Formats: sequence, C-alpha cells, structure tokens
Amino acid sequence: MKSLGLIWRYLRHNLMSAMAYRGAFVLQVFGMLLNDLMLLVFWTLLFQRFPLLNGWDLTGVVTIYAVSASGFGLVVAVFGNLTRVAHVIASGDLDYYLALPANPLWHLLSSRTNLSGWGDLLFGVLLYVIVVPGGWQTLPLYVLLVILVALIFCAVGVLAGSLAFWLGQAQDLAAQWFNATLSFSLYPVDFFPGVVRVLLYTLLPAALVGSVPARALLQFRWQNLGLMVVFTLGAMALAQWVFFRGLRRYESGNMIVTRG
Amino acid sequence: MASITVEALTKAFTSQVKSPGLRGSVRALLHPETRTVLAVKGISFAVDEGERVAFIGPNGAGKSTTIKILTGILHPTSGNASVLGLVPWKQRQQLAYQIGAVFGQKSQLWYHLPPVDSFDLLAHIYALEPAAYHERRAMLVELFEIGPHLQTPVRKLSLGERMRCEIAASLLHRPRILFLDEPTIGLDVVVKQRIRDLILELNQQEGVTVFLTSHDAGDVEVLCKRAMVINHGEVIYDGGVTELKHTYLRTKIISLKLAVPWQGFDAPGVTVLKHTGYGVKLEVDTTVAPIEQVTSGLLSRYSIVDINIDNPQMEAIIAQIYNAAQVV
Repeated sequence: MKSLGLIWRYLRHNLMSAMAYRGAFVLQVFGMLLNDLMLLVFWTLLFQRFPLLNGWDLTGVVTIYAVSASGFGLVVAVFGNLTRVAHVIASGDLDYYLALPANPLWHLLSSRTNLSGWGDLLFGVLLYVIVVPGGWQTLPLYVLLVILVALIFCAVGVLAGSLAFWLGQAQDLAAQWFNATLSFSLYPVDFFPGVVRVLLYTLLPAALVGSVPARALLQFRWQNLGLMVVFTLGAMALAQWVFFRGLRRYESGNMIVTRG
Repeated sequence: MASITVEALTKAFTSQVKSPGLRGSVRALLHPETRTVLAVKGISFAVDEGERVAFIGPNGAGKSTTIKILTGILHPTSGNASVLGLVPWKQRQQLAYQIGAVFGQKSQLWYHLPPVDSFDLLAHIYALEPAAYHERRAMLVELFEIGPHLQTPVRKLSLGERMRCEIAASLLHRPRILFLDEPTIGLDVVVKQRIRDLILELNQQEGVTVFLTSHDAGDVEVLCKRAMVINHGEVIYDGGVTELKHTYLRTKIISLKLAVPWQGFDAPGVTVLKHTGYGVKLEVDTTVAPIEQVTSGLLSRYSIVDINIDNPQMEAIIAQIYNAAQVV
C-alpha cells in the first residue's frame, strides 16, 4: 500500500518536473502519437489489399494496437525507469534507492516518467474509443486488460534489466529483450509458425500483451482473461524474486562520467 | 552505547581479468578468467552514540564499500555488523528510517525542481507527520539559511547552496546517525567552513553520530575527534585525531629568525625548506635526528632571535600515510 502511495507521489512529481519544460513535453507526447499513427497507416494499406489475414481483419489489428500501446504507454509513463533498470544497476545509481526506506524496485521504477509513453497511452486510448466495437460496456474490461498488459511489460522489463546484476553490462541485451516483446506484440500471433509462437507465449510474451488481450476485448472468453491474470501474477512474482536475489549481488559503483 | 559495531567484515568483488587488445577480449570471452579482490578485509570497530568519526584512506581503500555495507546498500561477503541494533543488509528499510546518508557525488534532490518539492517527497518516503515535518523543515531552513533557495530549481543553485540543501534533506527525518561521504567535495573554503559548523552544531544539539569520509584534512581536523585510517581494506589506525598526528608525525618544522646571516647547518635528517638571509625554515625527520639534538645544535651555532617548532599540516600527514601505504 505504501508503495502505491509512493508511485502516485512520483507520478505527480514527474509530471511537474516534465512540465517545467513545456516545449519538450508537448513535442515528446505528440511526437510519439504521430509516430504511432504512421505505423497504423501501413496496416490500413495492407488490409485494403487483403481484408482477412490468418483470421485477423483490420479491426482486430487495430484492437491489438489499442491494448498494446495503452499498456506499454501506461507502464513507461508511470514506471519511466523500466527501460533503464540495467543502466541504473550497472552505473551504481541503485544506491540512492537503497538508502531510503521504500521498496527499491517500485521506487526505482516510478522515479522517472517517459514522456513518449504518455503519447503511446493517448494513442491507445484514442484507438479504443474510435475503433473497438462494443462501446462503453467494454470499458471496465479494457481498463483491466490494459493494467494486466502494463504489468506483463513491467515484469519483462524488470527481468531483462536484472540481468545486469549477473552480467554487469546488460543494457543492450535488456533493451533487445524488452523491445522484441513490444515489436512482436503488434502482430497477430497467428502470423507466426508454431515454434515462434511458443516463444511468444513464454520468454517474449508478446502474444499476452497483444493478440490475447485484443481477442478478449473483441470476443470475451473467460479462458483468455484467466490466462492473462495467471500469467501476469506469475511473471510479476518471478520478476520481483529475481530482482531481490540480484540485489545481494549488487556491486554499486562510483560512476561520475565514464566513457561507455 | 555503541551505535555501530562491526566484526570481521569482509567484502569481496569478483572481476574479470582480460589481457589487452582485441585478442585479449576474445580470449576472455572464450575462457573467462576471474580475479577476486578483497575491498574490505575483516575489519572490526565500534562507534559510540554521538561520536564524530572520520574514516580516511586513499582512493580504493574500502571506505565507500564499508559505508555502503553499513547503510544496507551492499551485502558483505562475511562478517557481522550492527547499526542501531539492526543488521543493515537484512533490515535495510527499518534502518533507513533512522540514518541519513549524504553522498557528495550523488544528489538526492531533483535536478529540475526546487528543493522544497524534493523535501516534500522525502517527507512522504520517511512517512513524516505533516505538522512535525513542517516544523522540522522550518528549523533546518533557518539553520542552513536556505530559505531563499527553497523555491529555486536545483539546477540553478550554486554547488554550495545545493550541498546545504542536500544535507538539510538528509536530516528531515531526524536521523540518529549521519553518514557523510565526501560532503565538502568541490566546495570553496567559506562554504566548507559553514558546512562543518552546521554538522558540528547538529552533533552537539541532537547528539547525531557522525561518520564521515573525506580527503579534506580540514574536515577531519575540525569535525572529528576520532579517526580511522583504512588502507587495502584494513584498518591501520584507529584513535584520536590528535594522536594520529603524533603517530604519523615523523617530521617537525623549525622556523628560525637569526641575529646573523644563515650559513647552513649540516646534520642527518635535517633539510632546509627555504632561507632568506636571516630567516630559515627547516624540516626535521625526528626518527633520524631527535628534535632536542637539532635545536641544541642550532642554538650552539647561531644567535637566535626567535624560534618556532610546528607540526606539519594535517594535509601533509594524510599525504604521508597515503604515500606510505602505496609503497606497501
């Protein structure tokens, strides 16, 4: 509970900090929104030629975008340090969080906001409002799914970042792992062959942050939601366990400015 | 009552060994070779409540590692430590409520926001009651004279103003121990003085235990009664700052004002630092030439108007310890 209060505090604090630079704030938020729109144009053009691809139509793909972008945007807006976990560990910056009486993982994650994340979130919500059929009745489900997606992204980011406890320099690997999950999530999972699909339900849980929640939103089935909930809880528990195991190996550092 | 006790504390870091060049990198990739470095080698000490202790030693001696273990940031490889009755790496959060830490090279203030916002956030993290927090903040603002800077973004503060805010921030929750790692690094003489005075004042008013590392001899001399010298992960001296001078003091400085012009003085262990006609400054290595022997030799040879025998500056003593340590 205390961590939730802290996350909320930081969210306010970060927004205040970000708004201190109005120009950069607006540019980053709307720049990302534009970037996302460009990707969508590609899909629209594709589906004009092939209205149905492996059981997915344009609405399906746009719904995937809506949940994935909302979840991703939400998690990096609130947990702006999620993509920097490996860097924070390797550079010794974790000291700050460990010197304070708060859960170092939640504290670390929430102590920064990623402005382009707000753009992604805005984009996701807009898509949901405009495209997803079913109207306001699906709103509670959409909100729930977005939170689950955000938490899965969070687990992947923490697991990937925690590699730095063991490998030292793990920034690139962590970034690739996290970004691959995001990239693959934007394609319907049925586009991929079986072996890859297994990967997308496990190590790179792209299916669970894209196709599965999109399907749950379009054609609700308890199995889909159940799968999401179980996976989220398991992944978060694993991520926390790995992070706190890693803390024992944390080596700190005296980085001022060094050449990478 | 002891507020810190440390027994046989050891911390080993493993690092990869790599021969130079690309070939070395490839070899290290295929057959990684590791080397274990003992940053802290079984040190033991105790610090009483309200004490002011300087923890000094050259770079890489193990000072920061020890502080980081005592604040719960690092897990030790072996050994025991108790800080305010808690084991730092096991009861880190509980301990954090009762200690404050200032790392001179790492800021806990938000760069783009005014200090008051960071104070508010810290008050939340430390779960301070609003009324108590405001009272404490007002007191610290007055003491540290940071009222005018409270609403200015940190990036626009001078280093001295920022540092005063940093230390004030670390005192909001009334810590019982204050760990200061290089608190005066990069500050000008006046600001250094001010910060030292403030730390002393807090120690005397609130009985805060002060545990300080610094390369600044002035910090050690003014702030601390006790010094621990650490090198290669071992405590090589633990005692009073005044005694430290005597232990490591192998030289004395003799300044003379003569009635006759200087004509030299040859004796083993005596070096002329500078001379100007009737004035001369000598350095005496007291292990080679006892001071009374040198002075009586000088008195018998010269008619002396004035004589001063000084200890070298703390700075020189610390330099001597570090140099001696590097030879080992």
